[in-house]
Amino acid sequence: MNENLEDVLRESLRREAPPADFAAKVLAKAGAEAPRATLSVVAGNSAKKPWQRRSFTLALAATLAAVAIVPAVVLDYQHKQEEARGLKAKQDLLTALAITRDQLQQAREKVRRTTRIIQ
Amino acid sequence: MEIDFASIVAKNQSMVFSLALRFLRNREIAEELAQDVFLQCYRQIDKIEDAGHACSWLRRAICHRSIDELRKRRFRPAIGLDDIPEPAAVGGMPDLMMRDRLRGLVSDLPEKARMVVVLRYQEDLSPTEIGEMLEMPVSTVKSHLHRSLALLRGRLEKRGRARVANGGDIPATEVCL
Repeated sequence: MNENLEDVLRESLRREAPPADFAAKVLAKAGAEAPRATLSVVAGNSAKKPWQRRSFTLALAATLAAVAIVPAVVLDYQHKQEEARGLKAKQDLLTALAITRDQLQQAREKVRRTTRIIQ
Repeated sequence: MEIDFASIVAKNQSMVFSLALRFLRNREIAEELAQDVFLQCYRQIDKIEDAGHACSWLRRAICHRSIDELRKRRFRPAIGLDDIPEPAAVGGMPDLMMRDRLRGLVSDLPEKARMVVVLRYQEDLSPTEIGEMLEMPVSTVKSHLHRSLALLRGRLEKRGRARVANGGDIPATEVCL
C-alpha cells in the first residue's frame, strides 16, 4: 500500500509545463529590466569574470572614443576637400580672367589699328 | 563553458512553475511567482556558476518564495478550472480522479510537510537534499514524510469508504478538494 501510494503520489505530482509563452514573458521582462546587459553569462571559471568585465569596459571605452573621434576626422577631411575644391575654383577663375584679359587686349589692339587706318 | 539565461529558463521552467503550482494550487499566482524567481536569478546571474547550480538555486528560491507567498496571502487553496481533470474515457476516470484527489489532499497538508512531500515526489529529492534545501534536520524531513503518507493514506481510505457507502458515486465534497 505504501509503495503503491508513493507511486501514485509521484504520478500525481508530476512536473507540469507552464503556459507556452512563459519563457518569452520572462525573457522580455529581463530584457526590459537591463536592456544593455547581455542575456548570456560566462560560467564555470569565476576567476575569469573580472578580466572579462574589464575587457568589456575597455571595448566600451574604445567604442565611445571611436564614436567621438571618427566624426571629427570625417569633418576635417570634408573641410580639406572643400578647401581644395575652392582653391582649384579660384585658380580656374584666375586663368579664365587672364584669358579674357588677353582677348580683350587683342580686341582693343585691333580696334586701335582699325581706327588709325580710318583716320 | 558558456550558459545563457534563456537556456536556464528553458531547462528549469517546468520545475519552477510546477513546484509553485503544487504548493500554492493556483495557476496564475504560480506563474507570477515563477517569473519573479527567474527575474531574481537574472539579477544575480553573475553568481551562477553553471547549469546545475542554476537548477538548485532556482529550486531553493521557488520553495522559499512559495512558503512566503502562502504566509503573505493566507489564501485557501482553491481549485481552478485548470485543476479539474479533462473528461476521459471511463477506464481512465478513476486514475484521473485519484490523482486530483491526491493533489487536493497534499495541498491540505501543513506548509512544511506539503513542501517536503512535493520535493520528495515531484523532484525525487532525497531526505538529505530536502533537509539542506529547507534548512531542517533530516530526521524532521523523514518525520514529515512518514506522517504525511500516513495522513494521506488515512484520508484516502476514509473517502473510499464514504464512496462505497454512497453507492459508488463521488461525494460532492470531493470536487472541491
